Amino acid sequence: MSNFKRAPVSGGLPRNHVLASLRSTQLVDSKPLLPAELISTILDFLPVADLFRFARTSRRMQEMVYDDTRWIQRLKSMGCWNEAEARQRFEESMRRKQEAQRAREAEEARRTGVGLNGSVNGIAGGGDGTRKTSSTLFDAGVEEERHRRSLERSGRPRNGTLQDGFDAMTLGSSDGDGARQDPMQALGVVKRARSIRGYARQEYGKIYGALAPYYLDLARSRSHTDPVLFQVYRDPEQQARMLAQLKIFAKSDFALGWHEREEKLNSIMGVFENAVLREFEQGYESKDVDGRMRRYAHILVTLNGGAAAVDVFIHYHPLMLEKDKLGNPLDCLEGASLGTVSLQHSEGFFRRLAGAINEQVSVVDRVFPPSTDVILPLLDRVGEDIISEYVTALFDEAHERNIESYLKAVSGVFEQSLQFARSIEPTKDSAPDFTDEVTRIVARSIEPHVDLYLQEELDFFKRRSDAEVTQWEKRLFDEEASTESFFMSNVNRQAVKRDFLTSFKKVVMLPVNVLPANPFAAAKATVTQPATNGSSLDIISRPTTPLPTDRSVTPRPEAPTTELAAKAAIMNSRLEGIRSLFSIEVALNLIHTAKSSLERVANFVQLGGQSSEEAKEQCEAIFVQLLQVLGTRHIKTGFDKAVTHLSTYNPREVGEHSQSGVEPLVTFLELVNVGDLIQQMVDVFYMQEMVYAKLTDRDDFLSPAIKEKKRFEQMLDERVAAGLNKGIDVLMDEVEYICATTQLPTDFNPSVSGDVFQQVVDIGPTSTATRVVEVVSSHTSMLVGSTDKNVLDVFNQEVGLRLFTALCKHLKRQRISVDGAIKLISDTNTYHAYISTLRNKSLTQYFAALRELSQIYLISADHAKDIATIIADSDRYYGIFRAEEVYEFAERRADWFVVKREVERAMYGFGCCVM
Amino acid sequence: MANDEYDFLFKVVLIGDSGVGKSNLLSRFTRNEFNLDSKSTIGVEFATRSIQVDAKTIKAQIWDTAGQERYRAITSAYYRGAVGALLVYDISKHQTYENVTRWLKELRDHADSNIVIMLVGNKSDLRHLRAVPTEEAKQFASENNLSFIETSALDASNVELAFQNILTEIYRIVSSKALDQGEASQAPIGTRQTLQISQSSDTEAKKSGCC
Repeated sequence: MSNFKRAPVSGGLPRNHVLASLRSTQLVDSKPLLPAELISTILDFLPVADLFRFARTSRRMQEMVYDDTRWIQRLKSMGCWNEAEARQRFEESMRRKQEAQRAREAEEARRTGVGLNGSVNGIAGGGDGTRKTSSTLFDAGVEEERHRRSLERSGRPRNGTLQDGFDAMTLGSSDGDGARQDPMQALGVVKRARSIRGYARQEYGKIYGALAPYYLDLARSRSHTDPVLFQVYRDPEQQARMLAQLKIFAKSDFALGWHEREEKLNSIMGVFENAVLREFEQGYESKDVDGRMRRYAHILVTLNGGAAAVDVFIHYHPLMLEKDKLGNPLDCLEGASLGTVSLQHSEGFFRRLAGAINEQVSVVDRVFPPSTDVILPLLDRVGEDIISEYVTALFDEAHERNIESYLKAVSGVFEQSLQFARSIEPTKDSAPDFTDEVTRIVARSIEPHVDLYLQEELDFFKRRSDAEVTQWEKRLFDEEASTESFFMSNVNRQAVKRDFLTSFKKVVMLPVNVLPANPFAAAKATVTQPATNGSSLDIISRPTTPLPTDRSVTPRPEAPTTELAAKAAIMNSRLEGIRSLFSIEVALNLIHTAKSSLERVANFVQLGGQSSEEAKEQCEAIFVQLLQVLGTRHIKTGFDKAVTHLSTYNPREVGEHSQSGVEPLVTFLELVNVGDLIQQMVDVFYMQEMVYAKLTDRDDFLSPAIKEKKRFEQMLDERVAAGLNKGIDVLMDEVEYICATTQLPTDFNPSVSGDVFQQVVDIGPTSTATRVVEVVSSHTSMLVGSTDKNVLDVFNQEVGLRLFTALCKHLKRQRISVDGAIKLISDTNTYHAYISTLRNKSLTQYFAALRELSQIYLISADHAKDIATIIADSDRYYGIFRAEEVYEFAERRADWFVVKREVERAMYGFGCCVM
Repeated sequence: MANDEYDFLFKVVLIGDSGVGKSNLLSRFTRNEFNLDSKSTIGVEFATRSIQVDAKTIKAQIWDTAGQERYRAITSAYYRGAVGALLVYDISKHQTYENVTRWLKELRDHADSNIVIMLVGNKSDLRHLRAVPTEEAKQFASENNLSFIETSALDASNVELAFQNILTEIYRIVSSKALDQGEASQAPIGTRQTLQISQSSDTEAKKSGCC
């Protein structure tokens, strides 16, 4: 090994005597060799020039130094190595090589002739070929290396000269000569570097050759005027490019003292940058946009991305200095009446700001190269300094003056700021999400106010709705003494309701006017119509003007709202009977308040992120609050009162029975109607405002809004059920009362003394039956369409059964003759006809059984046997009456004591045996 | 009540098998209604309608009886006091025509012997399903001394006429009897003359029943 090593050292002797001998002795001394890893690590820290000197010591060292990975590493540290590209190139060259080899093989095979032997030769030849090609590659490397070494040689002495204190200038110039061979080419040397495996050294060599002289010279220079670089390149653009390249190159400098060198480079760059910045500022001051500003901005961007230029640009931006001109936030509150806020001023503010910024966008386009992002930092600053300040001042003042105007101001300004964000025009090369970015920036300036706002909004709504209900209750209390209940006319209740709901829906779907008009849409309109100078009032006063967006339909919402109010008034006047319980007007007002609050809050959902979540939560909270006030405070008390009225009702104590209905029950049923109406209103409101606006997910059963809505509906259902239960009692009381008071004993048992055919004449049902049916049907029909079908079915079923029981009881109190049976049959037929309109199958059977039952009174006493047959035929009565029960009814025959024996004998047979 | 003003009141019963269309004949005549899916009648239903014959108002009190077998026990109650009977069968169902004899027998057993009976072949709109030839029924009617008509409650053909005919026939008999016998044998109330035949023929009916 030592022999092997010594040879190159001795070869290198003639050139550098002392050093070589010294090194050789060292090598010999350190007989146990340093491990290759250590050597390699040491090599990492050698300056490039010394590397090659070291390479010359032995072949092994040369291999180590020439090792491609070492150079790849350097290229990588400069960011010039592209692994993918290298692999591609490598594979390409391999393929080319194989092709060449195959061609050669074919040739050789042709030359050596055919046969097995030839083929073996061919393989051998192939192996030879590869070696040959690789050696060719190597040769090329050597050639390159030689060239590099010559360059280095020229650099090396310079090092020496420095240390020796030789004239830097001459050597520098001689160095510069090497580079100046093609100074223009050196400008792009880093960019041109290719990634080829096996050629990394050569590539690095090229870069080193071009840049190292300047780099080292720079590191040596004492002041910024010294470096050769600034003499070779006079043009600041080229200087900037070179400096940028040197900055990159410095990264591959691992040798001793790299830190100082880099410091030096940085300080020189800083000096250069300052100089350029000064130029840029001067250009800025003199508004030389296309000239100096543009030029120096580009230089700065080439040098280090141009951050400094952007900073300066924003810092000295006229917008920052003239922010007072954009508008005074307090203008919005001056002159506006209590509870309102005039948003035209803030609108003007945003419009002016947008105009100024859009102007800047074009300036930026001209000054800065497209790759630099100037507008966003600028907007950042604007948001922080201008919008925030303006908004904070406005909101604080508004908050102090009046909560309502504060709420309006916050949501209005927010809406305006979003419009503003949308109206900022992107620069030529800004990212596609530019608008989102801008929106985010603008939103950020308002975000701090959102929390307080949301809290205030909910509180405000709470107070407002409470006040509404309390006020109504107070008014009611005042009026109570004079209030008289009237019955609602039954005309077309459902149509009225539907009509009311339609107009309600119409109004709910209208957007609440947060903004008087869309300022930016108006601003766009001015482009086409310069005469309209964008004043929102101007546009409003002329509804014929084609408006660019449908948001500016200011005059229209008035009509449907009043129409709805009118309808509500009509409904209310019709429902005067329940005026003392709860009011549809109050419900409507509550919903309206909730709607405006909701729409204001919903604006903030666009904010994104946490605030948007909070806004959504707040929306739900408002909805929940609405339901609570509406449900617990308003409707529930009303229902409770109605139920109390119902339970205290006693038909026997009420003198006046001439009306068609039982008063408290009618009241209650109307209440159910209105309750249903309010529930539908809430439902529509929920769908329109919460679900369509995506404020809540209707399938999310955990959402508080849904839970509260369910609870509200449940509460309503419970009240209705409780009331209906009471209602049935009352209704039956009334039925029994009618039966007891109006049924004459002669109805079913006409006097025998009269003409036989007398009774046959009046064949219709008795007035009792007619009235009972009237009372019951008028009350059941009131519920149709206002309650759930299932509830209605249950109610009808209950009413039918109770009616059936009442009738049976009533029947057992009567005495019925054969002639009276015709009347009774007519009565039961009437009941049956009414019950079958309820379409309840099991209920119909009860009354069919009643009809069957009434047949037993028709059979004349002569046919006692037939009576017995019919009594015993339980199939007739659908299992509703047992034979014993029918027998009980048969006892009500006027001639029972005459036929009893006969019937019993026929039924039980024992009478016959006794006889 | 205004329609209580009448000169004669006749009780007419509708009899015949279940499902031949008695209830619909009645609803067609009294209310001009027709119900395709009517349920079978329970017991009996009543309806009245007044018509004019010879400037006299005749009030018809029509008893629509159930045709089902299980009501046979009550039929005697239905027939009591009836002066006319419409015996209905279904022209598309031969069985209902065959049962006409049984219904006739029942009438003879339980009703007044002088009762005016009309044979009615209902559902004449179902021509394509006809099972009872008109001629055969007509023949049968004349043999048994009945009047005969084919009606359709569905398209209302002949319904009015059927009732008109039977009421007129009753009226003729009643008024001729009244002429023959004078006022002596009747027991009318006030000026009203009602159902003289049933009164006067009660004894006769019983006799025939015994024989």
